[in-house]
Amino acid sequence: MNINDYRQAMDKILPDPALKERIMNQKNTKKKYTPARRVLTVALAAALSVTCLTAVAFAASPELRAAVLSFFHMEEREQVPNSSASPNGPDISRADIGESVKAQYIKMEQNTFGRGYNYFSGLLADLEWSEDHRTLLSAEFVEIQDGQLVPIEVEMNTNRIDITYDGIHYQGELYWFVRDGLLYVTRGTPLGIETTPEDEWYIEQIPGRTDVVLLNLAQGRQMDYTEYPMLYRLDTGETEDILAGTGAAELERAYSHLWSEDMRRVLISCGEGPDWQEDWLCDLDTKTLTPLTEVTGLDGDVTASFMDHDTLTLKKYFRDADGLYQSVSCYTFDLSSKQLVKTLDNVPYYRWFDENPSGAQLFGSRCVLISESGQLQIVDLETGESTAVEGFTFQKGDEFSISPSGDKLLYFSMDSETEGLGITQLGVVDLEQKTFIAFDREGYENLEEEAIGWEDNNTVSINAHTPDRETQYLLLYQF
Amino acid sequence: MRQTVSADEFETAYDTYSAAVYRLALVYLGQRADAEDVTQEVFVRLLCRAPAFTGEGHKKRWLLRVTANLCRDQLRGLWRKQVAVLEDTLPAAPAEEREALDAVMALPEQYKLPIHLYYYEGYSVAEIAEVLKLGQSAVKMRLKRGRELLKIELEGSH
Repeated sequence: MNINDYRQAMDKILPDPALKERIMNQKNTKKKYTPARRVLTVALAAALSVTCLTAVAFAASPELRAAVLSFFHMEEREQVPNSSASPNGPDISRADIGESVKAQYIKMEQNTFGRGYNYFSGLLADLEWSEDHRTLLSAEFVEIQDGQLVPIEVEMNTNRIDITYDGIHYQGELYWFVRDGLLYVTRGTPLGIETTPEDEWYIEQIPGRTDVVLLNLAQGRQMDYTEYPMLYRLDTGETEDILAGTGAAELERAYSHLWSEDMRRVLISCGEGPDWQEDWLCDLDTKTLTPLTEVTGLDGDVTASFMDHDTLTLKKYFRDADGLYQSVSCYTFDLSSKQLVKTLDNVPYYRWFDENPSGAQLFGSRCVLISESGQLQIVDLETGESTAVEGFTFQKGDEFSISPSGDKLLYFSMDSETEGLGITQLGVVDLEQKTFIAFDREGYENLEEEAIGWEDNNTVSINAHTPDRETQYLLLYQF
Repeated sequence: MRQTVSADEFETAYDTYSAAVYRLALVYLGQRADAEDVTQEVFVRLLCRAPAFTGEGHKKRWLLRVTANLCRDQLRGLWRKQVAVLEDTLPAAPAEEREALDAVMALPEQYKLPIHLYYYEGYSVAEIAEVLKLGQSAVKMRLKRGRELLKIELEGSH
């Protein structure tokens, strides 16, 4: 086997002939350019100007220059485990990293097709799926209790999804149970198998609700993706057209619905992309549907989200000649008083893949500003308050991620030479407590780390596997 | 909508470069459907917002650079949630071709693109640096590391 085999194999790979026709048809119908959506929503990061961010941020909030948060680099290091799993099932071990961080390491045999452990808020689920991965055959659960894995019984409910919308007969099975006030819900996903239009329904949980979920009925992919939400009652299987009477069903190419906490308002994005996007504010109480530009008076390349029921966070992007994001301004808009307040004024936008990236990273109602010299400012986009981070220098490969409630930032640094993520340093910025602690990790290169994120507002997890792929790990950290 | 290339130019560009765009996206993403989505997006961008090209080489490098950027953004959106699964991309090929393909596509992201562009597209280090927006030293390092990781014979083949 040599590189010529690779070339010959590559020569045989060609795009589907229908693809050309698809693009040509799109061109011929004179539709406006619509960008990829579902998985390309992060697309188009920006070229950055040479403005010094620190100066910009301080200029924005001169009265708040004193706000400081200090970085504490822990002396204690984590020894990342890498031993093999037992065939008898998952096991757990614990470790304290200094006095501030408690780690739990769960290891288990690697997933096999149709079977494997999943983690849901303190529960490990061993789910066995049918060959087409649509039907749940069996489910066993263990709970993490004081560092022990304790098998538990749950009463799993099965609902049949069977609803026709816009000519598509959506079908499938939904599995759920409620335990300790938390809703656990899952469905089969036909992994590695061609999905059909009937499969394109998605469950979205509603914070604080265990009786209903949103059932998003989708069509198309990428540029053709659209969705429409229904309220789905788990106990009866009934659906309710929650947007009925608002006119939202008549919107063309609606692809995203962002709900206020009380579910009485929703921001709907329609499919004309960054350059031609239309956002609407839908009010379920007044049954009104209003263009966002009309509501806020802000036009251009603007995205919106709810800060609370009555307040929007608005981000206005500015592009360079190539159409890439160059800078961003942020605002709050009070829906009752109609007051628009600028909280961040035209700062360079962060482009993560630059050689020496710097700029504004936006996380909901928070912004991390990284100067060219790697100094950090964290800006509260609700108040404009800016907090300097002392003792920390941002470097390429560093990342942040906001917690579910928005008051903490996960920090991690990656080793670009490893097979997986290679997380060399892990920490949390607590924006309420004004602390930022992080520790170094040793032995991370012995695992291939494949995912990191928040499990809940207090727990960070890393998914990993051994290089032989025989053992998978779930590493949980509480700061 | 402002078209920056004519219909004929667009069709010619598609016929000439779509395979290269699609292959690069497939190497990056590992899934046919995703590679097709990116290919579609790349050519829509050609239609809507392409710069003035200085020649065919420039056009191809621009298309590949947009491809790499879109793929990177796509993976970035996915990587916290799931690991891209390599699909059965070449069902009817001889075993050694399949193995060679799998070997390259199994390389970490930072290595497989330079390897593909160097050994398949025949680009120089400087051209790869332009496409991937990397320094030439970074490209050299990635090619070196990629070769070390690649379990197939490369010597004398380029």
